[in-house]
Amino acid sequence: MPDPGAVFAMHDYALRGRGSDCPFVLGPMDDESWTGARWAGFCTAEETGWTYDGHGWRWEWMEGASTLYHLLGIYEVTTAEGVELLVSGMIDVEREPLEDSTRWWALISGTFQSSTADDWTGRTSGVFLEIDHEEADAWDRTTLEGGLGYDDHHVDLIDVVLDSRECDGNPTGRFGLRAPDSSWYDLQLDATCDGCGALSWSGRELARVCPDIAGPIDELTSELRRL
Amino acid sequence: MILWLACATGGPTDSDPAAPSWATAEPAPVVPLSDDLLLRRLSLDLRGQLPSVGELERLRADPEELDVLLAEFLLDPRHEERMADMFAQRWLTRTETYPIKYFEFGYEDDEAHAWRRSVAGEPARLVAYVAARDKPWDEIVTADYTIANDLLLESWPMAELEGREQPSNPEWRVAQYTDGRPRGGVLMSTGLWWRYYQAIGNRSRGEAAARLLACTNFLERPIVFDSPSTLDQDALEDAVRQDPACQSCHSGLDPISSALFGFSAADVNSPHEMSTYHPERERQGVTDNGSEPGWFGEPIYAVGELGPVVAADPRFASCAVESFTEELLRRETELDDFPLLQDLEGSFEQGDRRASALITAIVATDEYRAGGLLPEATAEHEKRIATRRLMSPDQLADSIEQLTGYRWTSFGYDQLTNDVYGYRTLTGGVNPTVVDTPQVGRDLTQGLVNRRLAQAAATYAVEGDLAGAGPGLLVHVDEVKTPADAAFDQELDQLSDRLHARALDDLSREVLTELWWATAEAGDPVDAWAAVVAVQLRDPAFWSY
Amino acid sequence: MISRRTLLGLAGLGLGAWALPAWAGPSASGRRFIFVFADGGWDTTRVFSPMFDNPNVDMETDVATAEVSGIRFVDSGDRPQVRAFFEDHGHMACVLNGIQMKSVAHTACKRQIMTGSLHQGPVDWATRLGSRTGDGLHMPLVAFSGPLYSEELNGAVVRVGEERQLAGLLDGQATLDATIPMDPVRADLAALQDDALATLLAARTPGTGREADHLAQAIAAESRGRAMIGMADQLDMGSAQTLPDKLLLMGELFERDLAACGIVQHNGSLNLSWDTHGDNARQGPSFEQLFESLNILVEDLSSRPGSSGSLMDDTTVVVFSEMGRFPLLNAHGGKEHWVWTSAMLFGAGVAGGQVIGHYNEGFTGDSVDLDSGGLDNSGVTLTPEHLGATLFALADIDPAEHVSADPIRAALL
Repeated sequence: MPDPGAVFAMHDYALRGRGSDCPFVLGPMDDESWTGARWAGFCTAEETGWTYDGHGWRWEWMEGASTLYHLLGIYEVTTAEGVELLVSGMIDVEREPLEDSTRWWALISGTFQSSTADDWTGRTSGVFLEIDHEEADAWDRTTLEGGLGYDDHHVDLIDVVLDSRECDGNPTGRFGLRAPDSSWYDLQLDATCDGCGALSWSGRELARVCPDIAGPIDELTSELRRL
Repeated sequence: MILWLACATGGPTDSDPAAPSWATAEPAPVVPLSDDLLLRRLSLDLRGQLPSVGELERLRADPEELDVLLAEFLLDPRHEERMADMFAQRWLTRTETYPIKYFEFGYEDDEAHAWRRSVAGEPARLVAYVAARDKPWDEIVTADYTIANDLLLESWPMAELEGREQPSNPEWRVAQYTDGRPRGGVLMSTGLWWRYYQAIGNRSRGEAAARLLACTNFLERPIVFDSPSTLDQDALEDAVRQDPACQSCHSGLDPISSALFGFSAADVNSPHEMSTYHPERERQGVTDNGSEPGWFGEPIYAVGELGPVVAADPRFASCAVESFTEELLRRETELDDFPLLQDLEGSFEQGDRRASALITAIVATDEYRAGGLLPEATAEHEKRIATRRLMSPDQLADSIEQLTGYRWTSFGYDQLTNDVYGYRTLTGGVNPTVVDTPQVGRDLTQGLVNRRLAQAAATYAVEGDLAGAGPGLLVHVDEVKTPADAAFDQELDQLSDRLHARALDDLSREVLTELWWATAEAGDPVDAWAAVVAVQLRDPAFWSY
Repeated sequence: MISRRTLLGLAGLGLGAWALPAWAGPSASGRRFIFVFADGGWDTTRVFSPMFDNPNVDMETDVATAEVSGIRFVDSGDRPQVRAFFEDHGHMACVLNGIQMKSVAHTACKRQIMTGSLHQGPVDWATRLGSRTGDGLHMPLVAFSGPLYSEELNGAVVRVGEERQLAGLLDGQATLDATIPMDPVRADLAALQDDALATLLAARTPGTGREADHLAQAIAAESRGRAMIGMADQLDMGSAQTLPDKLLLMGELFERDLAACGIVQHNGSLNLSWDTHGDNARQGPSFEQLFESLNILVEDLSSRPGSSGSLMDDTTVVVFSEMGRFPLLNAHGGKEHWVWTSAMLFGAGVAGGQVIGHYNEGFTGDSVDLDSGGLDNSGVTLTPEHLGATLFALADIDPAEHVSADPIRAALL
């Protein structure tokens, strides 16, 4: 599952090859409350041989008790070894401590690719995903909305909810898997709360299936919690 | 999110044009064009250029040749170019501004115009390809291919498609996108959705699809809301989805918009995001607009279904008829055109929805062939019936180049087809964001553009011809030194024929001869012949047809 | 053979009404109009509609309501030109608040604000006024930029071009800079061509329908073009790049009785458009730049002689945008489109020092009494047609000839 952390790491990695004047890099001024860096350039760093084409900005700041992470970029970076990094979009994450719980909200939209990474950035063609995760000692809740492309596969999620207090902890909502002809197989996990739902294709019901959705969702939220 | 609010309150307001009171089922009181001038009109409308002298002579020898020549025009490679120009103008695709700039794809400033024209050209050329190849019109929304040139093949995720009949213009080729987008002709065209792009919501694209393909113009429906309670953002969104007045538009608009979410870009300034189709976002319209994809009540389960559903909509065919009719008759169709449009649609359907059948039927009408009005014509007839048309900037540029070999370009810009540095709107042309309909009458700047172009082109051609290496505009150069030479009149006659498709009258002969003498005396024979040619290019007999 | 004398004699028939006079008197009504269009949809709460007490409206911080010359406006320390305008010229300015549009799409709203209709067909106010008040002038409506829907009256419009292309057409540089450069034809040789063409056109049988129209239009266009070319070295049409430059050039064209109407578009601060879906803060600098240009315009027109006083006494200026902006900020610090907008008239014939119309708590326009300008529940909602009717009234043209709405009589002196 796509987690913001991988892109933040990729973004930081992209600046490792910066030279003394390529790309132009700007950090926060003394009176600014954010941390991170902005860069822009269409150049090759003499010292490292890395090429930069575009602009990027990653920053973190505090608003009250919340920590906000943001990444915005339209760029291609190529390392001296030929590793290609592409960022074309934005990521917003908010970590908000609440009275009895902690909430993370994230919106990942765009294309984030690394030619060699073995995480999701090595395989993903495009993402538009909104994640809302809240957890306390005794419970947690995750909602997902959006879509992502992995290799040549494309999935979307509509009103997907996984709440440990509801539905016996089973997910609800609609998952879609796109077929090559642009039709969609949909799995509607319904209120029967047994982790099962109707599989349909182009509006026609095919079967009843019981997939393991919780695993990948847990994996995503564990990555999110590292922020 | 742009607020698309409560729409139609029912229909036209009192400020909308009503059906003209003069409209009857009576035949239009017109005088037909002469055969020569009709051929000239057909050639300009269907090929964008003048008929050759040989074609005129064929017609003069046998009036029955008109239908044969018409059929040849429809098979002429220039017909495809003309169709591309026609639909680029009608669909308002030739804009000068896109969110993504040419330099972001590595092109230089002197390639800017060519790059923009390439982006604008893609959807219009797909339509032109279908029309010129006489493929069923449905293919403009069901094709598994697009039309691209080198610039687009380098910029966008597409590849040439082998084994297909190629477009007439060798610069363009049949291609296919490689990013997983489904087939859908212009519905799956990056060029079209760059022209009609929207950061959020896609409603501009839905509006464009409905207008261009079904002639359903949501923008002409007035929206009215008078309740302060609708100020709240959430309440506004609820109103869009629930209020009957809002739903009268949004029930049709939003499902179409939802069907096009694969073109949603995370950042409209990102070349990659804007160039690539995003299958994973195809169904985000459900969340964004609250609507499942569909086309006027017909659900779309797979975006690949959109094209066939559109083609099956009766409005698709009627819109094609309306589009060609309005372009060829040079006016908007109105309520009282219903019988005509029905007849034409019959011809279209009987012809398996091929453009040639429709075009042939339209150009056979009395109105298309009108060259003048009978005494009983009313002021409304005068306003409505295009007994003459102005050459569009494309036609003017192509015709003058055809005759003289001169094309007015500057720093990579074709000066009659752009407004950045050029003269497109000053020549009466359409600029999608400034002037959305072509001009009807001749004005000062059109005259000035024509003047400068005519003088430059005439000089260019004459210099070349007199040096023995020109376009052959002057065919008697070796025999003519002055008007005293016998072939001088022949030269004037052939110029009049080629440029105007009419015989030179006595006064014109005298005036042009005197002009030649006076100019030669003040200048030289090059100046003299250039003057004669330039004056004829500035004459309404050239640019009004 | 036709003699050269005869040639020129016949040509004289064509020059007729468009012969270049040393000085031509003012046109029939003497009224001039300048349209200044803010492209993209302005945020009226930045200047025209102070709504600090309305919780449904996101106003700027560090600004306040001011009232000068009878006009209440949003006053900001960052916008001294706005204040200066109202202080110096507010007495002749009338703000119209609460004009209702019937769309939120740019293309539809531009057509509606300029013609009163969402449909193709009606001619825009500027072209209509230009064709009437500028009848007989070389450039009845000089169009630098901005939306126009001229329809059958396009002969009244003279487009300058975004890059001042008209200048190159007049002085012949247009083809000199071409890829295949061609020198302009020598003036004496060009005159021979012009005479010959004029002779041909003057003697031609008009025909019927558009054939006759095109012939008449060609005769007029060629004559006017010839005259304009003759003035090319006296008219600097090529150097006006900024909005103030273009407005100053309009003043010069008015003074020389070459034009009666003008239209120019303002593309916002840094040419980034007024369409601020993100970063609504750009509206402030855009307004400042706009009002700075208006101040320059007033000063310029006031220094030029008019029919009785200065040219400012003959000129009405219309400042407008195709839509307003939603009263609340979105998540990107911008504002979306809004169906209610404002406009400002100032100058000749305008009852200044007032604001007509009002935005209520829902940020929609309240009804007004067209005679008094006061709020009236039984009055009318202001629409673009009311604006058009008012402009026609200012030009002594019966509004009923062209629109179905009444003029805002309270805005008229």
